[in-house]
Amino acid sequence: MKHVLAAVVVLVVSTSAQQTTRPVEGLRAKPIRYLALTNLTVIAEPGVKLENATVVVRDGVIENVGQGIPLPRGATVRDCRGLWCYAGFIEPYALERDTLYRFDDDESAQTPQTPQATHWNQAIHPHVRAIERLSLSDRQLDSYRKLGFCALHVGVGDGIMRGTSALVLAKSGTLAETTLRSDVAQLLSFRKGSSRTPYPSSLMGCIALIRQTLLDAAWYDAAQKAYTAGKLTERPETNVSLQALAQAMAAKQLFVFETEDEHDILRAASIAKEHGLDAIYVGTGREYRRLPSLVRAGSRLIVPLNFPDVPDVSSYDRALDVSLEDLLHWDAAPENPYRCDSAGLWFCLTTYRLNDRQSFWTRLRRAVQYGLSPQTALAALTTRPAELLGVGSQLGKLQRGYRANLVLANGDLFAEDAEVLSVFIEGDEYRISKPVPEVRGVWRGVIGSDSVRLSIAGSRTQPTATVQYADRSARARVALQEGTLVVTVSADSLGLGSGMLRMSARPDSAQDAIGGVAVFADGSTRRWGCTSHRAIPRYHVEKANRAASLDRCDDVSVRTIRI
Amino acid sequence: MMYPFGPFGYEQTPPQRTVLFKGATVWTCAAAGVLDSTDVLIRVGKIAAIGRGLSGGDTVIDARGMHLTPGIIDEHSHIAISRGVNEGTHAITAEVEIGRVIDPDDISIYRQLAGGVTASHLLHGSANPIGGQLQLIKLRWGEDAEGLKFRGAPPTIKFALGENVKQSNWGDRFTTRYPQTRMGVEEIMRDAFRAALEYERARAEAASRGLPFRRDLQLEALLEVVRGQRFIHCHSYVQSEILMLMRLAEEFGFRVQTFTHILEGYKVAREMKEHGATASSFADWWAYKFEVYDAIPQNPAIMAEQGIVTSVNSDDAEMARRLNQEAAKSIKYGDMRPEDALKMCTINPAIQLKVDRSVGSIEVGKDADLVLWNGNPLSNFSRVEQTYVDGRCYFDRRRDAQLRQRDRALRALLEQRALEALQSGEQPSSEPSRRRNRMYHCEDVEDEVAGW
Repeated sequence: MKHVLAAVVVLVVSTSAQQTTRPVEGLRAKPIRYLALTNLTVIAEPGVKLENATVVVRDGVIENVGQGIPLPRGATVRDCRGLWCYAGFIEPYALERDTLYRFDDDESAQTPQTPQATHWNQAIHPHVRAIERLSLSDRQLDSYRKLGFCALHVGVGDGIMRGTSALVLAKSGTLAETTLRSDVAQLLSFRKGSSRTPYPSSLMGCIALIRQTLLDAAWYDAAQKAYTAGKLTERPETNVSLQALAQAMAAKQLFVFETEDEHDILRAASIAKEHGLDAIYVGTGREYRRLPSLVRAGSRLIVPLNFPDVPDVSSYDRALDVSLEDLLHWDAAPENPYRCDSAGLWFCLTTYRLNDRQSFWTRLRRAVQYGLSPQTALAALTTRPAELLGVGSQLGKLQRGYRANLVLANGDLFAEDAEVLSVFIEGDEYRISKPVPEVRGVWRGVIGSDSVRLSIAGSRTQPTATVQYADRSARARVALQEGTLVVTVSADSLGLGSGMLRMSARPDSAQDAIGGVAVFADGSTRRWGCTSHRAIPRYHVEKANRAASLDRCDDVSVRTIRI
Repeated sequence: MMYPFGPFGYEQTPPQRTVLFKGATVWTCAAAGVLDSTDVLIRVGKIAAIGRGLSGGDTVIDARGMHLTPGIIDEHSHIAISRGVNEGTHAITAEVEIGRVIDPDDISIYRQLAGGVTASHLLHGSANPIGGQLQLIKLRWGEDAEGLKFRGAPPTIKFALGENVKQSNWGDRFTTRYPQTRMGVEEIMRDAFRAALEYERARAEAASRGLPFRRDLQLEALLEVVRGQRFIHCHSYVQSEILMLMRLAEEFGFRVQTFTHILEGYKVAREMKEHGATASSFADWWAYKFEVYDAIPQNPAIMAEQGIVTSVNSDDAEMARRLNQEAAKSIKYGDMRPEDALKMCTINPAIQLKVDRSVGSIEVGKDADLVLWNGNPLSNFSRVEQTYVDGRCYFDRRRDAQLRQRDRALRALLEQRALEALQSGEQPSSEPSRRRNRMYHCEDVEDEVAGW
């Protein structure tokens, strides 16, 4: 089943969605970029749900969204019955670690000099631009696309003043092709990164350096002008770092502060207030510990879902190493987004700080279980980051004229273990994975003319099965191979002859039935088929598994098999 | 919710009740001296009345047999500081501020309340001649960083002399930073003061001509020092250097407020008195490096005898829990009057920090920062029953017992939850406990912000 989980992202139609200066090599491609997706459950924006709706995409832009709209002539029509469609998600903090400075191991120098006209401190480089430095590999992009992220706010994660970020589409191509907005924000942290300048060595030093540099930038501009006008005799230094920072401040650029604990947010907020910066803070998941203070400071946040693993209290000795504070945080952390929301804090969600980015949806659903409203969660992935990054009229909603960034999922991503099937980025489709059909439940039917009963439990992607025939039953190996269910069971133990019996079948969603061919040890075949008998509502499957008896679960619901 | 979200966290800010202490032995640390069988009434965070036969109060505490003292004030503390106590990378770092890196979750705050401490002066370390700006806090356990600050306290700054600042014991890599000698320390300070004065002139000129002027946070702090608006607390041991700094200050027309450590203070007490400096010392902590071999335990008593406002300090998160005992050592070593000994951790540090108008003694109108002891506060066998800050009971021995019980129950519950989660197959954390529970000292120099 591993191949299902480790989904491969495939670009279906490769095109460009913008005007480009690059010469065409070979023949020009002119694909049809006109597509109508029908019968969708469309979440046009947080709180707006349209059943049986159609989304029309033309040349990378959403041409129409709604119910009962006529199918456009010339468009490729795809029936998406049973699928949900969201606006493409936006990652507000996709930091790439790129080391700006590389030095030999000479540790004696107190203040290594940078020969260029940049800031004296190597940790300060607001002039560095993500769009000039970063190269995003398809692998990195894939890791976001699989989760439904179609746009990324990227930056270089090195130093205290890290330079400017960019908003890019998560599609393949050069940054020239994929950048939506450059120099969106100035990124800051309280870490030196690859800098070899000894100063600062403390948090208070970082703060003083940031404050002084902001003052210097404000002065730099005025001093340069005064000098050019002949009013100053003392020539101010030339400094591209201060120049870039002055421009950012004058343009009211966003300042993104990465913090290391909840108190850091207040520390950064006081810097922002002092210098009139439009700021947002990348949190640590510990914000709930000081909510009243954060609310008073009026902080806007980018909140990670880095809930800690279970503290190891498995033995008395190990438990001694676990503090009460750690236990409390482990217990409360999944509630952090909910508590931030309840306190009235404005936040976006990020995959930042996750050891395994692919655990994002599991974690987000956990946050929803702990009280976060799905509507807020969706806003924190779409409309809010779009607004924050200055593209509120292009991204974040399924609305006419918006960029055609869409997420197709086989269910409600916020409530159940639905999966992202496809993302469209400016109309280009990236298929993520085949959905795993839901086959769990109890099935009754026939092999040839004899009755058979098939009970499938376990997890959706790794089911387990028991086959009952006449008065015998046997555990079976069960596998899902590209949508086909394969059940292998010992024919002996069922009294159906010798050797192994293979039963394969394609689940049929329309009939709520399952059926195919059974192959016996001697090579003979018989048709077999079953219909769903007592289905387990999927939300309760895990609970039912724990109860260890499928039959004890009384809920009967209508099954839908989605392919 | 509790603040901090950890052991001994408070679910509510302790209320500001009207409390009447009945029949206590009251160490006023003021002109009234020690009063037997006296009542003290506190209201809205202030001391409202002192006398006999007082009435009123929503809470009446039978304090007969108990002793009431002003809250202990620690002139030299490094608790509640986040990620680095020293910015020792440059010789002068007057621009950095301890006040911006307060860690209100430090358990030392609670522990020290249990030792009767109500205010701590959070110091930058002693790694460089001119260190950072300092912060006086009140131990309002549960408040955020801003809420801990002692409002209205005059600004202070750390200076340091001796082996630390000339990098004597830092190792072979640290041989190039100026200064490497005690002579250089004097010279770099003089240079800094001159630069500050030049800054003042240039700023005035730029303002008068309407020209852009580069604000310099370091020089602004230094200018406050030279102009007598920011007060020096100077780490010091050796007599020659102590004289040097006083003469240097006089050259620029200001005074050194407090010499801290000052283990050779007994040698230069007269000169310190003439200069107007105060002293904050250890009772009997010495011989940890060459320049502290000349220390004697009579030092605080001798300086006090010479008329210097003298205090004892901790420089240590553990010792701060028993500053009353540190003060008491001067009775043993220096025949100090018990009343004067207690002043060394109450009104004297308040005077040194220039907050003696509001704290440091039990007088009507002052902040109700009080400690109730079950016996003589100078006895090793006495312990704190209650500690009040602004009239709020921030430590109470009975409530402490309840909190211990609460935290034990909380721990048991959460361990069970964790075991259930482990049992159901969730991954145990491989990461160590997050909080390092760092207890800083003056000399701790390391890079706290390196890497990512």
